[in-house]
Amino acid sequence: MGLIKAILTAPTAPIRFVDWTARQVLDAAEREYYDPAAIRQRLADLSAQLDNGEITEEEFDRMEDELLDRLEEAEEYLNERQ
Amino acid sequence: MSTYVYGITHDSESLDAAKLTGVGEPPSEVRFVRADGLAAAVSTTPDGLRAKRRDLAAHQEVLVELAREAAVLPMRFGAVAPDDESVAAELRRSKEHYSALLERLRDRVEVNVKATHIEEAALRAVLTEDEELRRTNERLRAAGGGTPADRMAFGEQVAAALEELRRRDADAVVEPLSKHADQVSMGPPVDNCLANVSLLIHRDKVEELNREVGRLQGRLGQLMEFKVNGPLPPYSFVTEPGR
Amino acid sequence: MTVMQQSGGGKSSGNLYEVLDLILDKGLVIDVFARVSLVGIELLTVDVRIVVASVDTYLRFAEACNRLDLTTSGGAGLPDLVNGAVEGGARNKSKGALTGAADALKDSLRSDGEEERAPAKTRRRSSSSGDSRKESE
Repeated sequence: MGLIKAILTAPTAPIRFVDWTARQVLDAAEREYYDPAAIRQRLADLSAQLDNGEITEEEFDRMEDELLDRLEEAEEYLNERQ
Repeated sequence: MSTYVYGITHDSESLDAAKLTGVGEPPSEVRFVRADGLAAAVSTTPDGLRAKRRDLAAHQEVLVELAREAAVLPMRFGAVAPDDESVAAELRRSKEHYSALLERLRDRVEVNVKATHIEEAALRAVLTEDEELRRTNERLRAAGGGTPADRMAFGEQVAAALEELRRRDADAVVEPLSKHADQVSMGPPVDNCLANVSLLIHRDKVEELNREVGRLQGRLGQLMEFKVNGPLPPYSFVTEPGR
Repeated sequence: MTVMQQSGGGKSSGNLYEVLDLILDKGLVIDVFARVSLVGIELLTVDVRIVVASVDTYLRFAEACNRLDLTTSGGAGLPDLVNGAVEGGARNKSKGALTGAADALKDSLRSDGEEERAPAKTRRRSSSSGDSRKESE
């Protein structure tokens, strides 16, 4: 696993290690934000909330569009990373 | 304006577009393009069509409604043709293929079963079975969790063991289900499921299959969750005409 | 007459997302037809794990194993679990954009070993989704 090797062979000085890891964390958080599986799960949760009346059709519609927009950004984000 | 295509079925008088509501907001009207004994359910493609819940549901409901009468070949969501005439031309061009497919799928439905490990139960299983993994876990626990690097390496081993468990348990699910099916199609491991199996079965066998899932649940329900969806249009069992 | 009805009954498209991979990736694709340009749509079903860095997944597994008390479960093979609710240590509920992954790694960097339990979404018990599914005999 490239990632694991990278972390394990990170610069030994603890401070730089933490700093380096912190940057990794942001990268990871950014990945979670664009994670298609997480977006799909979020859509399914919203759909369930709509079905049991916790949110209105309009609220669902708006949030759904936001998530689908995020998917579009994710595609660009992915293409840059390739 | 292009033509949105839902699916292909036999042409017949009983086809009633009035009952159908299409994709788009407000929902578009569904009409039929008829040629050589076949009929394609279509509507005018709305602008800005996206994979929104209401449009996915509309696409599926048109197919489910049509399938009450006869076999239907479902299009993948989002298929559009330049115009109605090009749809008619396609029906004529591949008439034999679609007719044969409709015949083979007559009275058949698709049932999709996704089995997913309950994470804690799967972790228990791999730790119980793998001596070395269990020792490492104890060692890390004693060391107050160990360093991030230790944790990472251990986590990677656990992930590999879980993957192996998924592979091993998949047969225990797919094999008993396949007995009831004319055809089986294995789907991608969506959301980490250990089995994503689509079964083409006669519509009279849906109950029988549900009972089989019930038996699996009785036996394996502590270790995995089952999501059963169906009867569905036979998405996984339609093939394109060879050109 | 092919009788079709969505399992789970009625129009509830709750199950729609459980069969998204069929609706979006299977079905007929005819070459002379095009596909509405649904940007990002392939991502909805693709399972490429660009996903939460394996860093988090591995750390979460390690932490979950750390908390597992094996003494209560039986021997090898299918663990006979403690009866009562199977508290599914399901994947981290996806938290706000910038906290989810950060928390996971932050927890791990904490050397004193006591970490607050990540809020685990209780996983649906082992029932199939089809609400209308008859109970197994």
